[in-house]
Amino acid sequence: MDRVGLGWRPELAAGIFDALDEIDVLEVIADNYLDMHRQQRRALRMMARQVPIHIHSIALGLAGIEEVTSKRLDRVARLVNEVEPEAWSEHLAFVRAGGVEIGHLAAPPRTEASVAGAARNLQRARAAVGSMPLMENIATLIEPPCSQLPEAEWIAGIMSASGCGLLLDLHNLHANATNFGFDPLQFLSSIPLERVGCVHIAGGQWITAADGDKRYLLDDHLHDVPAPVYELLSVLAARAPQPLTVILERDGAYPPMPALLQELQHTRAALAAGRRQRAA
Amino acid sequence: MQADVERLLARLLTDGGFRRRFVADPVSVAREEGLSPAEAQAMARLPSQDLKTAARSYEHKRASKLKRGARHWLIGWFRTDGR
Repeated sequence: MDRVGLGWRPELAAGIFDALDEIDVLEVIADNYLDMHRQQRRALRMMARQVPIHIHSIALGLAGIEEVTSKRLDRVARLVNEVEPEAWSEHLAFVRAGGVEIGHLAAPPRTEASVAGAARNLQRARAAVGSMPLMENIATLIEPPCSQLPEAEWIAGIMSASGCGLLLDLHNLHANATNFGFDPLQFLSSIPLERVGCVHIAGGQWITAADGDKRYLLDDHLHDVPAPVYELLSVLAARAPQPLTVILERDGAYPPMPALLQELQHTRAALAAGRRQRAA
Repeated sequence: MQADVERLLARLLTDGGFRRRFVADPVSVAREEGLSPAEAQAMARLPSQDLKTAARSYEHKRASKLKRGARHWLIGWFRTDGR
């Protein structure tokens, strides 16, 4: 059965607890809990007994060519083992290189070398944590230079080499397709949809170039989910055989909780439309 | 090599002075950073508009994280020690 959930944010906590009968799953940002006292992580574990939780990690940089350190992996492993979430996830990104911390997710050059490097890091992650993370496609404002592979082929290559599942972020896909002029439906045809373990939806906004008048669609999680993302979700539901878990991400400019719940209803409707098409 | 390109990208997204030097002469800077001639040419094809816009976005995201960190925004909800 398809499920719909929300990213856990403290600003939304009261509203989330009030609406748990309308929220099937919550996603918690790992990095905000790594340095917390054990008691506080235990509270998170208690919440995981009430509602299924996914742990979403940000700063491991598993798709970088540099080997992820045991220290970083051990911290995530400790959190995952204490909370016992339903699943955990990371990003197809690098976040540091040569001692430089970027401070956010960056797209590495899409090469055979980075496929192999990501697969090595993912095996290390699985060994440390005890399970393989779902890996998320990221949004980028620059087409990674020196790339040899299209994004979909690169992602499919990492999935094949590592055995990981995909956290398919449909707004990231929509933004990249918009900014770099490719067909998101063709992208969906090029990845193994039966291995999508979770889906993200979110909103963004148009921004203008730092110098010049070029426009970009920015994935900012501060706006409502746009219609093309719901349409992609319906297509995914029409094509994917497995039950889907969809998480709405919102990181600020929070609307009233009823508006977020309305977005969840819209999400369920988009899933149902796709499933009807699949059954026809 | 992949590591050299990733290191160069990381510097370009975090160091404004280095980025300005790169935009002025991308091939020379990329070669200084250990990239092959082919890689340096590929880096030079990166539109400077895209690079500057991405760098601005990363700066904003880093600043937002610092702001959120200062508020201990997630800690408060699950505080169990009575503070």
